[in-house]
Amino acid sequence: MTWQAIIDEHGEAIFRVAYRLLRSVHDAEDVSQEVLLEAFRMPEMPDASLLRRIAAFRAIDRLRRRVVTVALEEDISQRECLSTEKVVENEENADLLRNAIARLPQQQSRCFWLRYVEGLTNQEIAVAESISESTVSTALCKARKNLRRTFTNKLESAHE
Amino acid sequence: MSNQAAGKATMIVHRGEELEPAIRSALASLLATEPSPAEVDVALNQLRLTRDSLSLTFHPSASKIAARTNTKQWLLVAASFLVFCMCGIASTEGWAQIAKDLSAPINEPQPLSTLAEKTANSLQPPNEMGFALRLVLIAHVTLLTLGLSGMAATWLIAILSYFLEHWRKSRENSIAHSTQRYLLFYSTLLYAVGIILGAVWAQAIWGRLWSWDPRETFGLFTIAFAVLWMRSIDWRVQSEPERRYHSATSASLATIAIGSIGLMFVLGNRYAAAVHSYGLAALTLPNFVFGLFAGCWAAIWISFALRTRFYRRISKV
Repeated sequence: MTWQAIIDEHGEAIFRVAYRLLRSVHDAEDVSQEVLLEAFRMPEMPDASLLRRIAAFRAIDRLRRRVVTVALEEDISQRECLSTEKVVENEENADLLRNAIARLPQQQSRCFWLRYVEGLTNQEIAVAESISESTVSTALCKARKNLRRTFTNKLESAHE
Repeated sequence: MSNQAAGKATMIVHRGEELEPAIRSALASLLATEPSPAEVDVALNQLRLTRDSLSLTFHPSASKIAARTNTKQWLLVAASFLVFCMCGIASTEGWAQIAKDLSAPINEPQPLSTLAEKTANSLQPPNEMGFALRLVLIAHVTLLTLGLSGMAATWLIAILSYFLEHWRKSRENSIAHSTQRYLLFYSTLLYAVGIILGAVWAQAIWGRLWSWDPRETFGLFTIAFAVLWMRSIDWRVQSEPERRYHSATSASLATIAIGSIGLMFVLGNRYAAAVHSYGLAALTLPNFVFGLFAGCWAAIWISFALRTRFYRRISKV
């Protein structure tokens, strides 16, 4: 399979996944490039769902690095020219979630993504990540707890 | 919200029953974030262009990234190693002299290697300089050379990445950026350690740590310029809205910085007086070129070897 063919077939899907998480065209491009090269190196071409998953994980990794170096508030302020209040609120919530996911430990964020976005069962996650099923449930439980804490703090500070 | 996004949102609600409603809706709006069709087109075109450009990066794991372009890289490494060896052979006399100095019994008067000869003769009988102090002196000179050559290598990378971008329409910039950052970081570190070792040696031999002689002063300026340069790379990148690396800006900054550092080097040698007057005779053009080249080569590989979590942790502060 040639480079061009891979991009034609999978490029857009990968780019979209990365864009959702990073919301920056250039970062998403970089992540897509990483993922495609990784796929290109594999002995066998991975299927679309695996590629999407790899893209999400790479994007989360990058998100994590970004949270350390640059505050996400900057990104929010750039987008505030959007029309309705509702849209802005949605965007803010999404950014809050991005931030929160990036602050989760790697295993928790991965399990969270596989469970609630890719819709895998705990058993499937355990196979995909080569960990035990009880580890998966613990990680998910901790991830939910952490996210809940982030969101309650944020909402409380918004009410005050 | 478009139909597609609404569909995604219901899907999430269905899957994530146990999530808090606030988190669920946040997840739904995160998944509804879509790039515009134009942005997708641009990105795909960029991706199509990227593959060729990955062959000539300076990244240590470039061979892993682009498995099929190993040959060019190995040729580059082999060629530079060959030139390095040739330069080394050409200067065997110097190495032999150093080896002789190191193995000589300490109490027996022996001429020191070229760089230290004059100082030792003029200031102190050579037989009173202990073995450890000779090592410190050699390390002092070596580290300063390494540091300066690392800075020169950083400048080379900045310039190369600029030309590569324009000739080959490539986009290996993030790699060029990180390489510059850590190479410069380690060069400055080596340079600083070299100066500190020099001070240690001076304390033992001359009886004072620092004497504000032109060479020392300009060395201090060199560190200041290197630190400013290092910070300017980061400031520049952080102030861009998309935090992108700009090869043109970076190359011009690097040229200004290396120009200032080169000026410091020339001035330091031009006005070298009193305590630092030795070593000028040894600073012939072939010696200088060999030192710079060997230093560049060593600095690049040492910095690859040292590229650790330690550096990343420091650079985030």
